Amino acid sequence: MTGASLHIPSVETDRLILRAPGAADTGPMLSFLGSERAAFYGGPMAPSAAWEKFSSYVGQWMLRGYGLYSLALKDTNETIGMAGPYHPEHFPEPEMSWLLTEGRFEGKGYAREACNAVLTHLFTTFGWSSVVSYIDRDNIASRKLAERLGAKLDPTAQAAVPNCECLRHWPQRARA
Amino acid sequence: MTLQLTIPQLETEHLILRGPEPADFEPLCAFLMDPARSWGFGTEEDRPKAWRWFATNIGHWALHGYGYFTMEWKDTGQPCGITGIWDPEGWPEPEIGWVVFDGFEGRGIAFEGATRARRWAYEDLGFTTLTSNIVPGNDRSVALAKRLGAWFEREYDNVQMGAEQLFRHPSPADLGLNADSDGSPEAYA
Repeated sequence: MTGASLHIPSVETDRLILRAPGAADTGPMLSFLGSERAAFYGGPMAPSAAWEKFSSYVGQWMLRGYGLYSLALKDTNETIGMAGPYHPEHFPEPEMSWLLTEGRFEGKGYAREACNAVLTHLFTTFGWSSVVSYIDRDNIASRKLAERLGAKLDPTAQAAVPNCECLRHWPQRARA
Repeated sequence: MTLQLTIPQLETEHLILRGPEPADFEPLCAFLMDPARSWGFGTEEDRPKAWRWFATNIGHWALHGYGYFTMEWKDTGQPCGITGIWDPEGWPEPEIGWVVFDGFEGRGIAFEGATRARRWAYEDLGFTTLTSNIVPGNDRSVALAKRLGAWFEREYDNVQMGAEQLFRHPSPADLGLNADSDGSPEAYA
């Protein structure tokens, strides 16, 4: 009997717990990927395609040793989104990605809070020197957040996703 | 929080069934991108999509506790196919599937591996029934399903593959696989 297991320490912020994705996140992720909110994530897509995509996010952790965390509200344990480095086969480097599953979770600073924690983790615990985000030219909200996170346009990097620009995150002395 | 995969290593006369490992990707990718071999399984049009299927299968193990094993040819240690239990979103019920890679046909690998995976699902996971979904015209797979004792039950529309024939496998009792009172499995006939 053999088995593989990957210990992914949860990361805590003021209001969130960032944890390894699992079965509890399936429902929220299927409804997100099935909605118009997933327009920049290849959606909206049918539940079967959504499940495959979500399952591949989980599998990526095992293959790469890093991946997207699920974001849960500390108060209610409710899944509100995912954030972390996405790294499919054809990306030249891992890509810092984030999403909130429903509109009612927006405008509260949750994505910023989660991304700051993930970036700090990547730069300190993993020792990464920088990480890119591919941002669709039409995704204004995401562009704004990337800039608030301190990311800068990187004209030397090539976006692995059509219609996207590369913004690059760098370690900062203190991440707000 | 721990992301856990519990994937046993199973053995048959010629095979080891084990969890997928990164090095399994190339032979799997070659299979998935070869329409002549994979049309009945689901062909992937490029490497990124094949890699995603590979990651999805590992996620399937993490989310469900089962998925496709890599079959390794014992003598050489080479990956020679995959077999396991598959039940992604939209599936009518869990199915047992099998694939043999190029160069490994004609050795009875699919029968040997699928028989072992089915026994594992019945004895260790506690499944009481299993199916196999087969695209009409995939005669080799139908022949293998029948050799495994499965019978045609109905046609249905699969969310990904379209029209498929659902074959029903013999139950654990049909196969004499009830666990002993001490918990150890019966000898396998």
